[in-house]
Amino acid sequence: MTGPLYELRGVTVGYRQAPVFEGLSLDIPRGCFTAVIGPNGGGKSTLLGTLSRLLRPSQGKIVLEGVDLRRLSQRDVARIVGLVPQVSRADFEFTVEDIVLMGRYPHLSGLQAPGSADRRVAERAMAATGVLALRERLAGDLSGGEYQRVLVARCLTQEPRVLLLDEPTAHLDLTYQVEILDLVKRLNAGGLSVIAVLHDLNLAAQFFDDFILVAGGRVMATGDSGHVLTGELLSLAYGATVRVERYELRRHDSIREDLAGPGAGGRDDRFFRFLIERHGGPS
Amino acid sequence: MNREGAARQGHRERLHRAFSLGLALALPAAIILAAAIGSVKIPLPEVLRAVWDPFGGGGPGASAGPGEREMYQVIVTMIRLPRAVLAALSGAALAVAGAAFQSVFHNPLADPYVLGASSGAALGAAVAVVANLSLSALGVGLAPVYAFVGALAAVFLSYGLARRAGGPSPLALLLAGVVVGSCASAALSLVIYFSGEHLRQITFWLMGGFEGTTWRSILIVLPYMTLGGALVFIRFRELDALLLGDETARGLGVDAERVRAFLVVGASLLTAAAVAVSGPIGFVGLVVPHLVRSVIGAEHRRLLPDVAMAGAILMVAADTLARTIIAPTELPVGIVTALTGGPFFLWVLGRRRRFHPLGGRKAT
Repeated sequence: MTGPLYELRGVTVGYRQAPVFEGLSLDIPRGCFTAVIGPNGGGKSTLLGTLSRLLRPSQGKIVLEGVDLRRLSQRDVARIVGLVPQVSRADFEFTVEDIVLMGRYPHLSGLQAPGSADRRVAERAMAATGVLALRERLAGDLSGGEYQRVLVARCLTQEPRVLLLDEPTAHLDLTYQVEILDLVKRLNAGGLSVIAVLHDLNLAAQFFDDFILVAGGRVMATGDSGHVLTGELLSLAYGATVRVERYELRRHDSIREDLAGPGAGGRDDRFFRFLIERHGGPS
Repeated sequence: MNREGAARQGHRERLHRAFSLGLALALPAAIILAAAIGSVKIPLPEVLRAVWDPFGGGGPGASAGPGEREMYQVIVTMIRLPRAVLAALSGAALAVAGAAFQSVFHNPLADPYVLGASSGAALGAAVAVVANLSLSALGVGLAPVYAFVGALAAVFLSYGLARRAGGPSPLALLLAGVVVGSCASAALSLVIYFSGEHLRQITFWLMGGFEGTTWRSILIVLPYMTLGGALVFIRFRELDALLLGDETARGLGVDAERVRAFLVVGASLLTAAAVAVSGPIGFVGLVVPHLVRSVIGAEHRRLLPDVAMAGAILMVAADTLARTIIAPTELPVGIVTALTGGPFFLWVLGRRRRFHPLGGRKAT
């Protein structure tokens, strides 16, 4: 299959009478590993909601794998796009396995209950995310990191081609943050397109290949770190003077030259430091 | 599937099957017991005989039996059995409606009356009583008909208000339900204030009960309960997804607003039918879903049938208690469910540390 994963053309979308984006056009390639970054209220979540059909544009069109999103039902979309929402823990008395098996629901119809084939898909997903041993536990008894991995497992059970994550590292300890992003990175290496909203620039820069910088209802820049994570663009986006320091780490006693090079080892090779200057910035 | 996983799966299935089987046996037992217990104590064999051969007592062949047997026959088949069956149906309807509303609003405090059904029904019934409409048009008084219409009107008014106030989100619906319920209650107070000699009749209706149930009243509500129950049950997968919130449900391919409207219709039919024949009976619809969930988990495919049976059993037990505890006087069953259900609910909550009614849990 060719062509981009998503094509957005002149999309106007938002909440009720107040559009967040107006006339947004954007291409997202297949197999991407993209972080959506930007200040609060800039439109990160709106963009993710638009891509997952939670929000419907009032104008323009969104094409997913060559098909107009308006021609797909919520169920059709759920078989292609897996959404990991922000963690909310009103989970009643579901076990981990119950929650993961819900990922099969877009594939079931009528009075169908999940069968043994569905259970195998769920088990593979639980194994991939390391929650198989927790399958009988009540979701409410899990730690934040475990629960986040359960939500990813549910998404994988949908057998999607795209994984959308809304702040997957929010409320997690540092080790869990790294764990989740490592997991997602592995899934991406297996061919899954990944788009994640992150507000932590350091994590985003450390793990991701591509970036969409969103601020003030506009996509300000897209591309790799060299294009997007610049002091100039970030200062403009965040309305403060941001200085970017870029470090290169030695590996095997040699400085790697290809900083933009893809691959799972990427985060060992480079990292960034983002400093906000406290005086003299534009309000 | 690895062997350990299969064994675990088997354990859960066995627990669920054992629980369902227990309920399925307890329900007919409760109804039979309810038919035996009362001011006239009827021996169990006589109850079973009357159920087995409902017309035997009145026929010419019964002349062989003693006169006592004919009396038992009448008490069982014409008075106690229809009453117990209607209590069972109402309990099942309220419990299933409660489970559905808790999921639709992803709110553990939701009950069948969140959208104002009980106040609407009460207002309808009070109007019927005051206007002296209790004529036997359908073999039952018109109060149930007015109550049914009042309950549905309140629900649809709530839904319409929420829609106008910016989309029927769970929160908008809950708020609209509170507003409509309060307005209906105020109107009810007004009706009661001017009701004069009908006051006692209205108050009696408001406390809920199954006194004077006939088979005809069962036949009248059964279609609505069946339809409502079917509408809820066929959405068992969507109920699972909605319980986790709208965003999650949409991510799983559920058209949340459409399905919510569908489920509100189903659950409201159940509620309106139950409240029309028995008055507003609290706590069953709130407590039973939590109770069953705590045993077999929240998955609705397994949950809903068990919730229906457990609701039926509890209502039959409560009604039997209500008519015998201070015999010969009858207590309104609504008082019994509230007095026993409230403390029981608190006990359940306290016992299950991990469950919190407001959804709060220990952070991370």
